[in-house]
Amino acid sequence: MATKTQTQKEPEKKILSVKDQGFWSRLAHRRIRLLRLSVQISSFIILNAGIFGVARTFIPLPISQPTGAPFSIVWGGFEAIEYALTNSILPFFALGVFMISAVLVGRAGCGWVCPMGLYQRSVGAIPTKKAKISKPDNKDLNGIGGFLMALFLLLAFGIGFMNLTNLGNAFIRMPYTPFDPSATLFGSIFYYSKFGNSPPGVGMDFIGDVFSLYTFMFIFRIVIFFLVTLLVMYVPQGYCRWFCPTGALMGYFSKNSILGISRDPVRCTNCGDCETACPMGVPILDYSHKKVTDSMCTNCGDCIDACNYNAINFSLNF
Amino acid sequence: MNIRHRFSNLIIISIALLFFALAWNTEELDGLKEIADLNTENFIRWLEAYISGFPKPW
Repeated sequence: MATKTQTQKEPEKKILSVKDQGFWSRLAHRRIRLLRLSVQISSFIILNAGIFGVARTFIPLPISQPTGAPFSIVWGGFEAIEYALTNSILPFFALGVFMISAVLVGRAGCGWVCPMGLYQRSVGAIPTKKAKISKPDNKDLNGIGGFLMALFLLLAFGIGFMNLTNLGNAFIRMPYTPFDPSATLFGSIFYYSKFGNSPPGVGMDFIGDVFSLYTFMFIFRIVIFFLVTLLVMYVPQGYCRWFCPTGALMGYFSKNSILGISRDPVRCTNCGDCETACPMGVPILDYSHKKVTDSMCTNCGDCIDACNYNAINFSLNF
Repeated sequence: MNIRHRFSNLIIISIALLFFALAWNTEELDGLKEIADLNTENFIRWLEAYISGFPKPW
């Protein structure tokens, strides 16, 4: 798999770095990033169109959109799978959606649509010294998402098998939700501020009489959310890369997706700008020029913008 | 993309289509629709009802 092309030659004409180029050229080198940002913001508005009175749909999407978000009009794909399993039903429909979208567009939903991706991108824009993660470490840590996915699906299956849903709680139907920073950000903060049994100020009643398990769970969720925010401040897309079970599940089916990133072996100089720019830390140059077949690639296109030689582009691989 | 990749994609798409067919008119879709049919206001009430019984499973 790791076959670097040996035939590249340094172009004779020196190409200016992006910083040395004019405004329009610099803008051209940000075209996909800007397009992606506008798609992410538009998607966020559309996914939460319930605020405009749009009815909910039963469609699960393979993104980290919490079903319980107050104005969400779609199901989070992973939650839909959990919900079916805890109700002792095989999640054919939700799994089918995962598989079809992964084969067609890979993990593009993570890079272009997922609201948690937008949040991580926003937090990542805070100027901090980003941590440098080695390629092997990045790959090893990526396994955590797969482990979490397997663990919570097994837990959901166990709950369904033992028929425990009569305990009457929303969270036991979706066991990952209390740990999901996306659900905390887009759902639980809203609900707690509206209905919570705690005053504003997140758990200040901890030492008072009104302390409850709900408050404890809310604090628990806020702590996880805070830790994830800290992580993504120093590691771009840190949650996406290593912990997201939705992304991990998509990764299993998306390696040979039809939409992908390819490299022109003639233009590519192996300078490594694309790898530096990749928010997921994908070792782009380790892959064949035909397609980056990495389960972490979200088809975000940041590598395309970063390439000074226009050697990288989207490609359709039928 | 070589023939092996094409073949694996074809298998995944076939399985996905089979899954859609199996999911047709099943309890899974009913469950998804059940919550989808609730409008936002009802959904909040629904969630409140669940939240009120929260401590039980924990």
